[in-house]
Amino acid sequence: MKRYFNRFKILHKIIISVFVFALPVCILLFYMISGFNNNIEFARKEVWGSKLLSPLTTLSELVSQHQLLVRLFLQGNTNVQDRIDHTAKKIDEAFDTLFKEGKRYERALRFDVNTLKSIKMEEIHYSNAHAMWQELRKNYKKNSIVQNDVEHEMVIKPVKEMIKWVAETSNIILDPDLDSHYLSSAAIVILPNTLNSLSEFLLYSESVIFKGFRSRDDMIKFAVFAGNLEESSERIQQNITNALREDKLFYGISESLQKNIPPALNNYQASVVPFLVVLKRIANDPGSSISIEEFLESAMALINSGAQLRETSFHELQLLLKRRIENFSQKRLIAISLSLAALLLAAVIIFIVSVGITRSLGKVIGIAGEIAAGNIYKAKSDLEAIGKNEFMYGDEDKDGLRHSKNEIVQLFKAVSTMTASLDSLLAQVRKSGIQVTSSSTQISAAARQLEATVAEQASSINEVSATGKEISATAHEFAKTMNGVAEMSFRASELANESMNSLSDINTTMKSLLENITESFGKLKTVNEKMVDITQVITTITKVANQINLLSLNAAIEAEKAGEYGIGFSVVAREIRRLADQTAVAAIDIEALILETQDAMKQGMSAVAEYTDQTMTSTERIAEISVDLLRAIEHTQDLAPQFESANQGMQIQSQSAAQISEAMEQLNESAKQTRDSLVEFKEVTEQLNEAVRDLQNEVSRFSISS
Amino acid sequence: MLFLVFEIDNERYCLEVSRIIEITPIVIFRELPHAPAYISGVFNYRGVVVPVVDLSMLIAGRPSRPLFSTRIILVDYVGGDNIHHTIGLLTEKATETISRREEDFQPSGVVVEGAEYLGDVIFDESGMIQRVRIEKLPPDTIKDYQRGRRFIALKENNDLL
Repeated sequence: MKRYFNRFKILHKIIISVFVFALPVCILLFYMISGFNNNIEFARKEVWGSKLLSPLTTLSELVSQHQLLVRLFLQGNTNVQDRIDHTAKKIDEAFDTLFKEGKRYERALRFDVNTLKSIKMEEIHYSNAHAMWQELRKNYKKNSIVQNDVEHEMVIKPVKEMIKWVAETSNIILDPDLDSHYLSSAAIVILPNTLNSLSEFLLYSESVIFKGFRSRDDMIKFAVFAGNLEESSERIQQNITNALREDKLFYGISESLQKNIPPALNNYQASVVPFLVVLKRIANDPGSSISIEEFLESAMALINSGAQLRETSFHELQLLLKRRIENFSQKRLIAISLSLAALLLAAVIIFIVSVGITRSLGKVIGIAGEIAAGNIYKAKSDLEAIGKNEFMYGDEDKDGLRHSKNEIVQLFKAVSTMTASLDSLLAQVRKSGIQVTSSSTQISAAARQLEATVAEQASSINEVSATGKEISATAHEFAKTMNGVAEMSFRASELANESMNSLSDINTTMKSLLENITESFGKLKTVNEKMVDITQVITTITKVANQINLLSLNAAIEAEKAGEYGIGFSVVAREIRRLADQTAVAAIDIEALILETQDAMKQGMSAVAEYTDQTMTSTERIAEISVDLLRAIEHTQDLAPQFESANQGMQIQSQSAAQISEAMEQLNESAKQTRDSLVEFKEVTEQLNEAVRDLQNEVSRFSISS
Repeated sequence: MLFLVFEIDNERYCLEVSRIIEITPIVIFRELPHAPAYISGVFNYRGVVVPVVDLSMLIAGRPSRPLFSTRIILVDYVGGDNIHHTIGLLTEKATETISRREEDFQPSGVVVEGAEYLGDVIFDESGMIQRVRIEKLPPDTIKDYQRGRRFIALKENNDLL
């Protein structure tokens, strides 16, 4: 049900609500109008009843009169024949009226034949009375007095029953307004009763007068009737006075009522008084004689005035009722028109309101659709335009509307705020998305770099690890070497001690050598001097030998040229040369050798000198070296324990290097794990990047203002 | 035939005595600027300007040392122009002669270009002696040089030979 109801548009819902609200209103209206209608119907029934009652009461009176006159006629009073005919004619008229009015109202007042049959009261219908009357009218002259009385009674009885019935069905005695109530009670209840009893009394009094004497009971009856008549007239007087007094309180003063009723009442009262005088005379004075005519005259005058008063009262009562009907009709019309107008106005207001809401909501829906479609900029501009056009906020009435309690305005403001927020949010999101994308890209790049770095680090660590291993091995070897070195240094220390001793020997040897050399140098000088002498001698010999050689050569050349003649000469030359050669030519080379020796000697001497110098410096150096060596020995001796400690340090270092190597391997493992983590991190970053790209795609559906 | 034997860096060489004019002691030469290194210079030989070729320079690439046995061998040289010239050959240890026949010489087997003057080889108890062929001396450049003006001036004193 609720789901079904939610499908409707607001306008439909409002229309449904209007119908729902209109239903009780219409029911109330219906009851109100039916109340009015009831009142009107009530008044109408009264009118109709009064219209029927008028001929019916007239009829009952006339029939009684007719009975009296017929009785007089049958007693021999033939001059009443005209009056009988006159009365019969009036009775016929009354029946005509009754038939005419009865046909109109018998159904509404429930005295039609069918209704009466259903309650088994069909004998009271006026048609029976009329039939009886027709019978009576034809036969009254032939019948006896008693028979006529019975027949008259048969006519009167249904009429009286009819009167009672109509008075009941027409509600005339239940009249709610005081004026019409008093008037109707006077005209319908009291006056007809009075007239009826008067008619009956007339019949009775006629029989009394006709028999010629009055008994005590008759007299009392006359007195009582006079009292009753007096009292009833007083009641009539009182009721009508009340009616006249109350008249102004009910729908204003009825002029015709005020004008017509008092004369008729006065007339009636005036006719009551003489009849009372006659009645009292008859009652009080048994001796007084009164003619039947005289008695009837005054009674008839009273009946006529009463009938007149009744008719007038009926007429005025009808007028009053008509006024009431008019009044109710007017009120009903006003109520209907006011209600309808109110309903119409409400409908129009609801329609305007709902149309306004629908239109505004339509705009909001449109804007929301724009937002949903992503055109936030358009939604924003639409909102501004709508705000300016519809609510004029942004113009002079800004503050007034800002504090407006109109929900639509508030909705627009809320949507506007929402749109602005969404706009800024989306801008922020877009910006953030870009930042996140760039950041994630940076992160990704950084991760890649980091990955590479880690890979490099891993390889570096590998290298370092390997290096550490090498260091460890090297340090181990080094430690070994150091052990060797320590031993060697120990040995070196010993050797150095030995060297020291040897150096001391060398030093002394060198010193002696220096002395020897100095000595040799002196000897060499002497040799050199001797050699110079020898050279001079040899030079002289050699010069001679050379010249001889040269000469012998030239001689040999010349002898060769001379041929056979020169053979002997050439032999001589050869011999000479041989001699020269034997003595000197060898010396030529010796000379050269000597020269060379001399040079060599000189060089040797300078070399010896240099050598001497060098030897001296060597000696000095050896001395220095000796000192240095001494120190070195001491150092070496000192060094030995240091080498020991170095050796231990190296061993520790070797162990440390091994530990480093292990640590490096662990580090390598960690680096591998880090690289794996980085790969995962990279994947996560890529996922993040993808998510951000999706988000950006979503956001990029919204066109925002900036 | 008689050959003059001389020694350069322990290797012995010989010259035909028939081509030798005279052997003189070493003198001081007038140097010739821009001349090749093996031209030691010129000197006055009995009033004639004679160019001197240093055989040590030519053969061993070093100048002759000033020894007693270092001498100038004046030879008769027929240049490319078929004219006889007197030139001096400076050499060390020119103190011996040796007598051999022409057919005793054996070719060395190798003729080095630019050193065609080193000819056939003989040997004695001390070792091998290579013959220096005067007609091939000095190298071609010197031959060209001797065809110059100086050579013409020398030609006028040719009767001295």
